[in-house]
Amino acid sequence: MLRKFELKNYKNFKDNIVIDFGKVGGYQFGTDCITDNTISKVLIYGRNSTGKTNLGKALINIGFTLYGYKIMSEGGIFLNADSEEENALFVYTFKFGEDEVVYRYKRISETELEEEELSINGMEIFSCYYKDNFSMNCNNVYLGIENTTLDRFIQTIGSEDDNEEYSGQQIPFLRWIIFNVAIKKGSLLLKLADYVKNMFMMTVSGGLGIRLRRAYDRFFESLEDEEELKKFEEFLNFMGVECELVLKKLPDGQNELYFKHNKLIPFYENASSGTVALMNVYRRLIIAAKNTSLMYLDEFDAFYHYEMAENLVKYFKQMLPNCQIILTTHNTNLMTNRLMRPDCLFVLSRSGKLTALCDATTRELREGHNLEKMYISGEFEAYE
Amino acid sequence: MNNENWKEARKRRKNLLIVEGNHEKNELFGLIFKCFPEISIDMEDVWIYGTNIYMLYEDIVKEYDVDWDEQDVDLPYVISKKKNRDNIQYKNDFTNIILVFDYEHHDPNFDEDKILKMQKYFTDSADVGRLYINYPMIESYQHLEQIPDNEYENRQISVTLQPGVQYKNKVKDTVVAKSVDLVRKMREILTERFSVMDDIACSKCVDELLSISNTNNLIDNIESKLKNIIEQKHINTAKHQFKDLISKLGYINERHSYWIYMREMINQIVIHNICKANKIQNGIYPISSNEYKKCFEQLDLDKILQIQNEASRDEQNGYIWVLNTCVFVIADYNFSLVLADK
Repeated sequence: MLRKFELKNYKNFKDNIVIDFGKVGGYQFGTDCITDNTISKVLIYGRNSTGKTNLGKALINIGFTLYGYKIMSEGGIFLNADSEEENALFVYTFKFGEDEVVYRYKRISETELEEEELSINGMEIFSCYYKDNFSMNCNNVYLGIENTTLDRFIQTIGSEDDNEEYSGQQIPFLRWIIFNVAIKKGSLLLKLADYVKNMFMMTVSGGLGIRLRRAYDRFFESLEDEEELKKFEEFLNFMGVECELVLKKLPDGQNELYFKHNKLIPFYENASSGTVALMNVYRRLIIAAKNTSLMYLDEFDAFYHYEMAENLVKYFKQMLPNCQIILTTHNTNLMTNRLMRPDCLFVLSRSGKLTALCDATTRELREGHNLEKMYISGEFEAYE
Repeated sequence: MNNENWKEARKRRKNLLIVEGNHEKNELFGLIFKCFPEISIDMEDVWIYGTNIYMLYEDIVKEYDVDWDEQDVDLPYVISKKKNRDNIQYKNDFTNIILVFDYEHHDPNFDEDKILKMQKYFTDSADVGRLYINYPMIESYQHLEQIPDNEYENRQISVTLQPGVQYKNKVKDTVVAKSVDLVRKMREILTERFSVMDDIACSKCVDELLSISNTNNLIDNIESKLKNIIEQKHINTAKHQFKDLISKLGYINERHSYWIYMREMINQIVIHNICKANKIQNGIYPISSNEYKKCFEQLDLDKILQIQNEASRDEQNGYIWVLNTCVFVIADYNFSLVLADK
């Protein structure tokens, strides 16, 4: 699991910002927000434009580093605009069983890497420095690779990647190892690679506007299985969308989903914004999420009735106990010990600091406290 | 009402202290907030509303009807509406709402059911408000003959001891009363004896004098704090007088400031009252220090009130257990404040 994430000089975060999933408070309630002594369900609040979306983008940046996914880049400015420093720092601390893996890198831009470093249980495995003169240190023995293999990597320095998706960028060493070295099954590197592969982020704006028909075909196809259709229908009903669903195969082989009424109503064209948003989450979970390691849902409940938002949080806790789920929201109704706990509720401040509610006041927060009212009355004002 | 200027930021983090309007309560809470800066309540942000618990009860009924305890009562609203209709306030702007009332068994309006209903409803200072009832009255926090005071376990007063001024006389010479009184005394000397008229400067000077925490050059130190507000011709008399006052309680020899000294004393008062509350509720007074917190969490102020009601019902032979609950404000806020100095 991801134990800690540190970031500096990225977009609006000029100073260091940390999400410490290991900082578990001693609460006896809400234990379903904690997995293996690590915070696994997080809600982030914050005024508009404090960087809730940017934080998510930063968090999944490692996916780009390791797999070169096209990230949701709007071509925005990468480095902090007020800083003198020329790179952004990303530090990921993972815990797999008893082992601690720290992957740390500095980026000059969305695509350019300056430094990269991996350590396991405090021992440096490798470090690479790419800017100007390339240099690297590598614990060949730990990685089980020959110098000749390493030479092959060194040859990639300066040359461009063949794949046009990420042409012009240097391949990070860790990515290169994952794809070019036979890693032992069950090794920490593989665990790290797996974890990162299964991280994802969803933004509300991604689901807004044009509904891409194509994206749904695969999901509708999975509903051909009657049980899956039933499950989806149950899910919608549980979330408060009362409906019955029917799936029909059209002559062209495509599937069409309908709301069942006297006349069938096509789901895709007629579902409400809330229902579509809900389906997007569900579809993502069904298709990709069996082993999702971490998901960052930005403004996850922007279209939801308060009860639906609550139900979805409950659903996540119950159905995805091992997945680290970070939700950003403005819905203060969720800021409650009935659902969450003070060490899992965070406020992102205007100055780019992320603070758990239990650390945002000297008051000892108890289960009976009305956290929402306290937030609104300014109890945590110094950290907003 | 509600004609707010949209450009004016809503002022939050206010504090409401609902008391019976008596000076001492102001003094006690002023002292608590000063000695426990962690609670981060600035007295300037404290809105004090003086009323009697039964009047407050009637005001709540007027606004919400008799089944008010099944609704979400907004005390700042109830009070501000009555006080100043042009400046209505809401509980969403208050981080602390604290109600402190005397038990007032002899009050003609005393009503067991009403006071119990209040005690049951007002349980959270960060939300609707928290009610602290002092038995027999606020001054009970001073009712320790020494520290520690093992006699506190059985301290009761007869219901025939009234009016309140009699009880006040009973406690006015205790070590706590004398220690607390130092602030008032210093102010009095500055204003009455040395004619300091500027209220803010006077408070500031008292604050500085009480922050002195060592005996090095004590006289000079005192003089430097007095010289700006006292006439030169009085300085010599004044500095010796203040030296005596400051030295008398002994804290300065321990290299503590008055505030640290009082913080420890208040903590002792809290602990004595936790033990006492446990005695009333469960019949056990001594608690080992690692059990304080657990014991405190299990205290039930409703039950204590009911026991007090029972004990005091007989007008001749009835009695009231001496107990101060308003000092629990500190323990409720964060129990580690109580234990930190141990």
